[in-house]
Amino acid sequence: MKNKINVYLIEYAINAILRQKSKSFFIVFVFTLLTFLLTSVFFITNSIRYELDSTVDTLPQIIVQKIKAGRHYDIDVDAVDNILEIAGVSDAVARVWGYYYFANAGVNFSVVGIEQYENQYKNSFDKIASKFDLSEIDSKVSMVVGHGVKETMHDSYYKEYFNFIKPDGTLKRVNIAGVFEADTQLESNDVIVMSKDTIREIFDIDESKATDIVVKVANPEEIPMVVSKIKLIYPDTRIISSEDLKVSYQNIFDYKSGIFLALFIISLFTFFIIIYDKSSGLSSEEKREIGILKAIGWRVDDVLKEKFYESFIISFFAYTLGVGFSFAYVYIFQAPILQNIFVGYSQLKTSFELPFIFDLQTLFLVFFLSVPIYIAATIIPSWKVATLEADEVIR
Amino acid sequence: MILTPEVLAILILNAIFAFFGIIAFVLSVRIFLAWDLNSVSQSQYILEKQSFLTATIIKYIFVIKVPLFLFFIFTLDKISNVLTGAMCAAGVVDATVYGTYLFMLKILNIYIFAYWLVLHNEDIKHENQPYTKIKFGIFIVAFFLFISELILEGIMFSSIDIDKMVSCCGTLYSSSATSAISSIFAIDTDVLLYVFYGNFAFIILFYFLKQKYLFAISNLVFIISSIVSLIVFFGTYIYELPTHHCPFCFLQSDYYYVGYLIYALLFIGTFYGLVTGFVKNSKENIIKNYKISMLFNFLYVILLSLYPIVFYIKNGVWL
Amino acid sequence: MSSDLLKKKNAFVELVGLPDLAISTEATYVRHRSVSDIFSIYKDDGTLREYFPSTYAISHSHTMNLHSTNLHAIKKNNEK
Repeated sequence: MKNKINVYLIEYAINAILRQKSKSFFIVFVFTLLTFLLTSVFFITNSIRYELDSTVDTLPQIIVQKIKAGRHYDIDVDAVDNILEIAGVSDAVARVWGYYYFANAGVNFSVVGIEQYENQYKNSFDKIASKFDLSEIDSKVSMVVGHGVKETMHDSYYKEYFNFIKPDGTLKRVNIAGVFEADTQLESNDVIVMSKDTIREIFDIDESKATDIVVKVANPEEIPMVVSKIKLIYPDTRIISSEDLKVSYQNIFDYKSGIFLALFIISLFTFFIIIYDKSSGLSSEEKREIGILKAIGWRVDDVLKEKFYESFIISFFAYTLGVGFSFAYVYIFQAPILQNIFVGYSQLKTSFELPFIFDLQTLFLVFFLSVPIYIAATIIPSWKVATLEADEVIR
Repeated sequence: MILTPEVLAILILNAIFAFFGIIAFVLSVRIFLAWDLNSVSQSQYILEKQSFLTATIIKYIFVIKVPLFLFFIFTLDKISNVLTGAMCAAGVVDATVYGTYLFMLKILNIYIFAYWLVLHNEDIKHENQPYTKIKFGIFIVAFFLFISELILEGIMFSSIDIDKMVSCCGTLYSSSATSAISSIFAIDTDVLLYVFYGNFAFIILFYFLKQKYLFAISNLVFIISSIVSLIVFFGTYIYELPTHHCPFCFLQSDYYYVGYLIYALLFIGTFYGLVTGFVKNSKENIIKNYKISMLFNFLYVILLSLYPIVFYIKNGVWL
Repeated sequence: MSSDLLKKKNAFVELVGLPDLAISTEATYVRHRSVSDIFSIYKDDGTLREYFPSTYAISHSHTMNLHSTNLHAIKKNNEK
């Protein structure tokens, strides 16, 4: 514990690493690649989670859905009045939203309805949408689209308007009034916002039906009470509170990045075996070296210490390199190739501009997954080397 | 079952620890039974070589174990975000019946491993290695504690149920709780503070008298009295909340991770205090241990005392 | 993230009121995973496994009304 760090030993260790160039290079290369991949995945997941958490507080406090036959069903708009009567509820709004499959491009849009363009909405549109045409907004059949939606429509030569195909096969023409700004892409990429009436027409939803109901509660402490009361009135509903959303955001990757790690374990143990093999197969030259060291008076402990320094320096160097590379890879180059794991087949690609967060815990996590395992792999080979007999190897 | 990357990392490292621990254990048993320094036989010669491997493995486990313990607490803090009701690590520890025992076992093991290392360092300084048999005997005992810690940790993580509600530290560490912890709140705060500062005064006294056994014992008592007083009294000043007693929350960023400093000071101070009583050392080493122990205990007391004092200066009242 | 951008994003989320990010839009239960139940994955056929690549990384949301009725969770949130 009170051992002083021996500078000469460190110097010797560094020289020993440099002397075995090809071996050291191989180890550093494989090690760096491993930490790089792992850190990149963690950086991406962390940033996505951070992005989610940064807007979680503005989400609706309570969302009420109707479940019928195990599926999500349209809820009666009348329910709004009953919910409004519950003490503590300050507002309840029936929403209409859904997915529109644009077959030509093979893309899903999320179509969201809002009340007629009211003043408050105009204000927020001013903030978040560009190419915003006020004269268009007054007409009922217009929409504001996300960046990705605009691109997709452009590719199909819809520049000013878009033709939605209604359930009965007829067309519904809706003008593009504006585009959400590109820097909100992660949230807005696939979203189309239009008036509720237009959506009802496109999806053929009856006036008395809605997709779900959003409830606002004045005092957040009363949310669970309100939830249980709604559940009592409408036992067939599924109610999602803001707390549920938070938990849901928390575990977005938890089980699955466990899978990443399970794969990583396999490669890690392969790595372990490779290192074990590499460091136990000693060339006669290395054996001679140890022999000479012992002959000039090194103790077993000194050799062990030198070997420890060697493996720590090489693994820590590779670790730093891997983490550094993945910083650049994720936050500067936006994780090409690897992002496909998160995006999948979806045609509507967002720019993968993730917020930069420096999370110390991720660095610790990767550290514990790489450096100790490497050092563990070198314990027994180093010991074997250190206890070699001087006279046997020099002879 | 909860399988975040952090938990998996801990489990992987535990598997490696177990693997190497078993090797060290087998070698220790052999050394413990057959060690004979005066023998010139082949087997004694091999044993001497193997003792190096065992020592290296134990050193390795300890060196990784200490930062891993901090990482473990870090992980519990993180899991508390997913568990409903938990605000900090305390909720996660309480989420299963194993949590508390695991925690105690972990702390105990760190003391034992650190003690082993000091013994080992003392041992290899002497030519005839007087402690070899004892130190490997100690490791045989420590191994069982260590393995039970690993198993308990595995069981704990696998029995955490994400959908079950757990207690928050605010309810765990309050006088209205019915757990064993709540009984400490029955102690009068004044008495507790007398005990705490009195205990510290004894440490200072024995430091000047150089009574090593009494010094070690008063350090042992100091571990308990300081943790109890931390929960009951000093914690409330760290949070500036009279009702919040949690010994985990101040490990979080809201309190500038001060908890890590507090526990590190306490560990180093009391550990070296214990070492003076339990390890036969050379003269200057003993004095060095005395000084380290005194210094860190002193810093610990100063740091904790500052919280109420600063609070009093700022607000003009006691909590 | 600059506070300006953050405000913009919050304004957008407030307007639309839908959780989750538009990173992957290949399936409704991936795009809007927080408001989809875990049955949505299997609604077509019980033996059907997840076949979208993004579900390899993105997990379903576990939201099954267990947390909402939890007084404690809300309390915790308020204390923070």
